[in-house]
Amino acid sequence: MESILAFSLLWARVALGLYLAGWAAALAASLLKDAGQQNAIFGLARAAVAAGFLFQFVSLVESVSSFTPQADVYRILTGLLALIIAAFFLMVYRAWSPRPLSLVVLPLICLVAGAATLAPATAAGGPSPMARSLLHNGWIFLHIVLIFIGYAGLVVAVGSGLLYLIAERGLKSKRLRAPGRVLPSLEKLDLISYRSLLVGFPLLSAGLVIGIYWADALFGRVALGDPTVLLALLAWSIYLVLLFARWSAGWRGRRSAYLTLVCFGLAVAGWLANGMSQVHSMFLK
Amino acid sequence: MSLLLLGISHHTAGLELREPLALPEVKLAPALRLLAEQPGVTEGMILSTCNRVEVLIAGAGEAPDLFRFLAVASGQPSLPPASHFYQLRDSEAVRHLFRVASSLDSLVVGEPQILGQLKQAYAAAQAAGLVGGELEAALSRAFRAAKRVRTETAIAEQPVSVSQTAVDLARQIFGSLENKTVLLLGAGTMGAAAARYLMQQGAQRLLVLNRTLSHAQVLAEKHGGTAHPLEQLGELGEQADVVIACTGAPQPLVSRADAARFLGKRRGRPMLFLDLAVPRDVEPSVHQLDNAFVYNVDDLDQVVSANLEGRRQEAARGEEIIAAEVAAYEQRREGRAAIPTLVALQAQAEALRAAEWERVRKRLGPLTREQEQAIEGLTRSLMQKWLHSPLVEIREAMQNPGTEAARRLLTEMVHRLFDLPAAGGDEKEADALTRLAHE
Repeated sequence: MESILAFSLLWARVALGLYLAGWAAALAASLLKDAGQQNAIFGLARAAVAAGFLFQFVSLVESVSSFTPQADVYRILTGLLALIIAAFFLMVYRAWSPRPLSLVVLPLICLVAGAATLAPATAAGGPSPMARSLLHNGWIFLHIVLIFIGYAGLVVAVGSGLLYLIAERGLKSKRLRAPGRVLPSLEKLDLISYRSLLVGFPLLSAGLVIGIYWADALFGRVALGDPTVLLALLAWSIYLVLLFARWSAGWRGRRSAYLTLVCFGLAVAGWLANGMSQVHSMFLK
Repeated sequence: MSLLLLGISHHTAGLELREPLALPEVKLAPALRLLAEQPGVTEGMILSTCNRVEVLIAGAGEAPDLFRFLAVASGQPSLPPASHFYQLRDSEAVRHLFRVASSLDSLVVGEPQILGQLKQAYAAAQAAGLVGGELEAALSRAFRAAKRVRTETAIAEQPVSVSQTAVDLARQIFGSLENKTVLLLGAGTMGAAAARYLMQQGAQRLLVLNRTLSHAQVLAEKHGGTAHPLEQLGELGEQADVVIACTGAPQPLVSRADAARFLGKRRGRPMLFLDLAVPRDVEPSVHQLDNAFVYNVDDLDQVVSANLEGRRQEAARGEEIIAAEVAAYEQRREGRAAIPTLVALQAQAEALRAAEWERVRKRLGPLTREQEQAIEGLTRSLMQKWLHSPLVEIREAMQNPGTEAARRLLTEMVHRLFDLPAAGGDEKEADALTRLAHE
């Protein structure tokens, strides 16, 4: 058992290393002048991220299959989040190959994957029996995965939104060496952001509904005052405003990017607030 | 064999001096024929563009009077003073050729046309049978140098005309121009040029609006667009992704409120306004609206001149590449210079050996096939072993001779030492030998 856990941690570290290598390669490629070399190195970066994704997956399978009282739920969940963001990014990359986006999104993936290798000391006895039984509940698992996909959509949208703000600022300021020339076009960045949000929103909504339903079933009440729940609902409502304003009032581009940033901030705060949450902290102790 | 280049360009003479010397396509073939007839010319080509007229020849012995040739070819009895021309030899000519090919010598540094023009000039010379080993080597290296400068520096990346900048800005906003609509306000030349370029680069629709409808119709017909009276701006504005304004109107035609209305109807899809008119056609405050980008004449000029400055900086890196390429070319050429001598030496040794063997063979009586082959092998390897060291030494000495005169002296010494046919005697033969050696 011990050795399998150690392996799972090793694979998680390999995954982190590969993400970091992918990021470094993408950075290096952006500095190159020669288009052929640039293509080759961006190809390498993408391959490294894909390989990192595989290792992350193996690591997760091992730690889940050997799920024991000692298992670190926090590490598993963080690993899962890294895995889902990486998958989402790879799909976006496949569709639009927005190279500069990898410079923004890959560091975020590295951060989450890094957190997945730094497990906090597990309390003696591992997660509570209740938490353990809950993690074996398919609905709770679905709740987590759906919310994570919503988060992944947000991560890509916020990365794209940041690039949009940089490019837009360059064009508005009429700066002579506009960054727009190396970035994807405004319309493309806006499109990536929008599509990512569009995919993420229904999944996040479904994840929240499942969570609320189960909270009601288990605890007999929905803990709306709980920081994680509150922040998640806030993020969700901004998400909704974001899409709605786009459809009705044509809010896109800059305003959309700012709102995405707010939404992302709330989601991150919600994630960090897990530790303070009555409902969710049981997984971490 | 040496290269000689005579030229006149925008660096040395004004248009009124260059113009009469130009050799456009119709005059080029007769000029090349005339060039072939010049004494001492074995190879040659003529490059004639709006910015330069250059004659490059390879030949032996006394250099021909290229001034006179140019006067006759262009039909100008009197040429501009010699100070307006440049005459370059060998490595200087090669360096110039490489710089021209790489667009480092161009009026707009980094412009892409010159390489194509040079390739055409080369093709014309080839068609006239005026290209041999020397020009082939120089030109193929020039094309290579041009490619390196283009790919290894950012010399051609930044747009340097208003039209190019318009397309560049549109690309930064919309990505592709496909499915995009261009609205041209007014029928001014600059605006029309920018609109035409946007259409060439893939924009889908062109709407031409003008106070005088007939002018709009002429332009619209030319570029496959539709013509409308200026009053329709209010209805058509929302359809435009790119608005090019170039009217002589004293008041702005597009107010902030207009633009806001367009953008609202477009649900925030961005609009690019290129205001080429003075006084301006688009209210400057439109730029403050979300998703609206207004560039006026000054903004565009600033972009263009900054990019030209950027090109000049990149040109310095281009010059480094050129220096390296010229050095590489020189080294190859010097290596090539030794080839005829080396080939002659080997040929002479082989002829001697074959003659001696033929003579002795009759006296040896009947021999088996194996015996014959053994003696052939023995004599051949003796010759080769003995020649090895001189061949290596001669090649090395001729690659680093210091000066052209030193190389000539060296060649002559070797020829006399080994009693080879006179050095540099027959250029055509030497050339054939060179090709043989390459094969």
